[in-house]
Amino acid sequence: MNNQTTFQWLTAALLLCLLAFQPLPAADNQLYHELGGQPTVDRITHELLDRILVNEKIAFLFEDTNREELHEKIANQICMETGGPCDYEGLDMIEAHSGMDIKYSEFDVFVSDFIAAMEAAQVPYRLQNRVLAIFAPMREDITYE
Amino acid sequence: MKNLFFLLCLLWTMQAYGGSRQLGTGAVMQIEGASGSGIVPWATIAGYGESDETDITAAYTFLDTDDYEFEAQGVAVGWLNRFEISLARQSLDLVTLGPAIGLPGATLRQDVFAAKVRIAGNLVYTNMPQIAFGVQYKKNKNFTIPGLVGARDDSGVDYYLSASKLFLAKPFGFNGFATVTLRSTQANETGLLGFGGDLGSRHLNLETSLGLFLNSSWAVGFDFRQKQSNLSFASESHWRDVFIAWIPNRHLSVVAAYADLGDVATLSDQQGFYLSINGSF
Repeated sequence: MNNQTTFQWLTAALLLCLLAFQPLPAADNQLYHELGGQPTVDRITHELLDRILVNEKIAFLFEDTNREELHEKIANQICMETGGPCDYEGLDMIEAHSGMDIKYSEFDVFVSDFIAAMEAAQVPYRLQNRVLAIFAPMREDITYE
Repeated sequence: MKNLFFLLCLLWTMQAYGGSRQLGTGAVMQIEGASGSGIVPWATIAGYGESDETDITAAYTFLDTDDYEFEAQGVAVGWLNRFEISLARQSLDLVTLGPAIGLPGATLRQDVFAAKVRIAGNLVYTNMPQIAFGVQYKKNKNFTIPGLVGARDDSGVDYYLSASKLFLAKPFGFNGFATVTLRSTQANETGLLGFGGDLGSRHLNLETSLGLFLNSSWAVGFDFRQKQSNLSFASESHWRDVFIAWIPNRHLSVVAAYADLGDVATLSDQQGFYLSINGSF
């Protein structure tokens, strides 16, 4: 292996390490307030339920719950995860979705509706991304794949 | 006429349903047919199919420098967000060189048959990057000119290992993305000038893409592709480009870029605009 090739391997290995071991995001306590507090959280939840409960690809996942109960659970969790003054009292992500056999594609459809809900609630793009950054790592706990 | 038909096919694809992955995560078709950005293959699987879906992407790409016209048409199938197979047909019209060597209208052509498999990770949802391994088999349609300038073979195989990652809300709340690709190749000017030569054969090259989504449907970034010189008749330059991509929905994406190809087959300072239209269904 000549020097140039060695250098290339080292550079690539270093970049891969940087990509692989980036630190987890620090707790984002300001986010709840930047979003606009509970009114925005309720608005996002409302818009989200308007979509997922009629979306033929995922609506069946919510058949066993009523809308009020679902609203409370989801709003409560968005509040808590964005640093708001709420204590999430429901099951954790694994327990809450166990036995539901949620596929990656169904999770992705939910995320698309969630993005559309934030858009409808007029959440600015960069705040949307910060919310997604909190929930994205939960995919493995929510899905069964 | 053929291109018009191709464009109509692209428009038709917009009527159909694509996969369910998030907008932009299928990247676009790079010049050799793989999912990636302009000149660099990424670890992404073409289209928007998830682990239980199949998605097909077709693209037409055009690049015009002072002395060359490059054209590529490709089709890729992404299966289960795990496997990708693709076919690309490339042509390079030697606008200046052709008449100079007494072959007006001379055009270099090759086909690229390729496959890619996602080995680990997910572009968006896992902390580790998405990692994929790809193979590109390239075959010259006519070896006369590559043979004249000293190329050894009219076909060759590229192997690459790629890592891609989308950084949610980073930097500054935008979604950034990065790719590092290591490619083992014998190709001269990506294979259009054949494979191997008097100065060498297989090399390991580094390719990278870096960019940022400005909002959900616009992204900007740049690509770099290291190249080698196997032929003593003319040295090759590393390639680079800056691009802007418009991704209005899961069925259409358009990429405009400015590419700097440096010296290509004795002609220096080849720069020009690049346009690529992708359809998925």
